[in-house]
Amino acid sequence: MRNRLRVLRAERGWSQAELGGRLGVSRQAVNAIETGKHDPSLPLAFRLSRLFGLSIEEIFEDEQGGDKWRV
Amino acid sequence: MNRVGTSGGFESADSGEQIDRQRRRRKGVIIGGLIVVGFVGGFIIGFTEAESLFTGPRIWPAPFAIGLAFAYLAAILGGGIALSRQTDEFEQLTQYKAAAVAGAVYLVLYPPWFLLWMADLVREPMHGILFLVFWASLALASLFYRFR
Repeated sequence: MRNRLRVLRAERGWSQAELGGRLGVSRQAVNAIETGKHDPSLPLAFRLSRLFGLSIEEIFEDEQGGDKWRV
Repeated sequence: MNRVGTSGGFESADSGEQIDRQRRRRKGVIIGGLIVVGFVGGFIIGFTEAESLFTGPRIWPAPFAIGLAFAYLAAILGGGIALSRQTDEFEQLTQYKAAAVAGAVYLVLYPPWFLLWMADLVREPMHGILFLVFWASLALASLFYRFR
């Protein structure tokens, strides 16, 4: 899943370790999310959302598009 | 001192980097403790019973075996619980995947070995070898999923 985490982090001048510490996860976890190797859980996505003051949709982009799941 | 803040993450007087360092230090202490227990146990076995590991028939003294079994259980259970408290969701997922790979390796390796042994085509399955292969698979898969 693509996301703007690297940009948002850079805007605040935070390192991956800094963001990890603020979220309560490891630097490796932040790196894995930024590079798209790991999709965060819903609780962690909400923590990111609150930390950056943005909605989840403003941080993460659903690559498959929302239309696929509409009935 | 850390507390869960409005973001759901950790808010503290410390910076995020300090919190990350503290977390890594706690993990290092736990892993270091496990290494020490393993080293001491291995040293004692090597020093006192090395020959019987290869020759086999000698029976170890019961208190010696019971003591080592307790030390192993305490380390693996205590260390596992302590480490799980320092583990985030990405590390947990990595460990779950690695455990699945190690379990699959065991499932692939043991039954054919047992069946071939029943036909007297190979030597009897060796639990020590299977145990080591399981741990090696776990370690390699863990490294792969963590750093790929």
